[in-house]
Amino acid sequence: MNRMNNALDIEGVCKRYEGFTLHDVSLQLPRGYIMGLIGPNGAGKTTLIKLMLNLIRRDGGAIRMFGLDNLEDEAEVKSRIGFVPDEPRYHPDASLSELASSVAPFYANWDDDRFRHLAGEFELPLKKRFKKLSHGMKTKFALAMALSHGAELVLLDEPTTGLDPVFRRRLLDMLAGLLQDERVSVLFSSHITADLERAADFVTFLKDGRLVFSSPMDQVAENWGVVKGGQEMLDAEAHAFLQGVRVRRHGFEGLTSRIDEARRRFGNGFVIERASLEDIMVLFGKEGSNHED
Amino acid sequence: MRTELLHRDMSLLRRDMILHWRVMVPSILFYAAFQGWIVREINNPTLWLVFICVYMTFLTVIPINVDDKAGTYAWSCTLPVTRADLVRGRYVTAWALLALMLTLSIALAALMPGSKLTAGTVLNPDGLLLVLGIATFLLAPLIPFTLKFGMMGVMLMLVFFQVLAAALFVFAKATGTRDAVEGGVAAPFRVIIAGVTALHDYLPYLVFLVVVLAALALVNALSYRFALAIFRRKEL
Repeated sequence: MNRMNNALDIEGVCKRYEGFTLHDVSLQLPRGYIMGLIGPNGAGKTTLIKLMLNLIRRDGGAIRMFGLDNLEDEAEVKSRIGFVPDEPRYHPDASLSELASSVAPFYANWDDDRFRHLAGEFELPLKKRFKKLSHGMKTKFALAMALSHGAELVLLDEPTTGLDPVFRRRLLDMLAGLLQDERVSVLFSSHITADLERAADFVTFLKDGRLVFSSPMDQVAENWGVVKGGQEMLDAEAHAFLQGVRVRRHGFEGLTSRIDEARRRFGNGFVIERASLEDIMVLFGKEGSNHED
Repeated sequence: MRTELLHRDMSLLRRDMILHWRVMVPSILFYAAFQGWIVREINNPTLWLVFICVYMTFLTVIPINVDDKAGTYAWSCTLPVTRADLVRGRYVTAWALLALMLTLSIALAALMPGSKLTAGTVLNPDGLLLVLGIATFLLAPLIPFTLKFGMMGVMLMLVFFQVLAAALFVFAKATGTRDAVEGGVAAPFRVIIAGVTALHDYLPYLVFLVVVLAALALVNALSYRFALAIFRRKEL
């Protein structure tokens, strides 16, 4: 694969904290696509994004963006990235126009007309101080900043948290619109999986600091399934096959990444359905199952 | 490359001015009002210079303290700059603020009715060298210290030195060793002053200027290296 064609290329990245380790994560995001980064709280999504931005130091591995090393070519790489954090923290006493004006000279492609257009569209009060904004408005402001300098890779860390459903949908449309420019790619972390099912071309699933999979969305939809049956049907063989099992009073539901094999293996009496991202996130690893190969 | 670095330095300075003017303007106005009063009271130029240097230096780290308190370092590190650029930007902002306040102080000394000082107090090579020297030796530890420990660290450091001074005073009085204690505290300063005086007396003046400026540049460079090592380890 020509790595220059990837907006993002992560290889074997590790980060150790006391009580949490991000293990050997690798993924590729080709230019012009949206990748959803999913996982429960504490899975390592924010840690991974912080590593991309060199906000924290990695303990191993390599991160390349647009074919450039994110540490050696830090300034060049960051000039091509737009970032929306989960909790935007700018200078609380500065007004929105001051904040935007303070960063404009750093970006060769800063487009003030675009910023003002987005600010108008998001109904951002530019004279207002940052600390006076609600969480949703802060996120909208961060988004307007991230989309005003011609970024080729937009990193969004839980951007839809705190947004109303109308703007959430608007945001997803906007991200899809960005991809009309084939240079632009988006990495979108969220635990609201419905958002990602709507927008993502690729999905990366992290759990407990480990990469479970990083695949095209259609492959996920094709391969992952949920097997349902009565409790008495859950024998040791079925248990070993499934990658997560939830037992309920009236039956069980189990997760598999080999839906075709599941259809052959499990006969009458079982219901086998395609798994949604939420199914995968909820069921994966329940009751000590194994990882996808 | 140099043009690019200069562009980043100027952009960081401009950013600091935009983001911190609301805190800096009242602080500088208060400083100016205080200076307006003090130039009418003090008639010892050296004492005045030492005093304004200490005051100015502590004002220059206000932007670092504000950023630390607001938790905005992470945002700064997402801009297209390196951590080295950000640390260098701190020094550029500090020295720019120092130059601004020094200009203000000189103007007040020269123009304030009833002032016992003149602009010439500072506007001569020795006066400027003294200001540069004191500011360098104060900023050199203060910037890395503030980057590492933030506003609370600076407060605790000031309290620590006050408590230490009080403890030494009590100890000296109780044991009747005031001269020895004072001598011990002043010794490092006396050594530096004696060294600079010796250089001043024995070297041609131009060489003396070059040597002292080079030494001050070295202290600044070492401080920058130290601050950078601290900031590079910071996880945001």
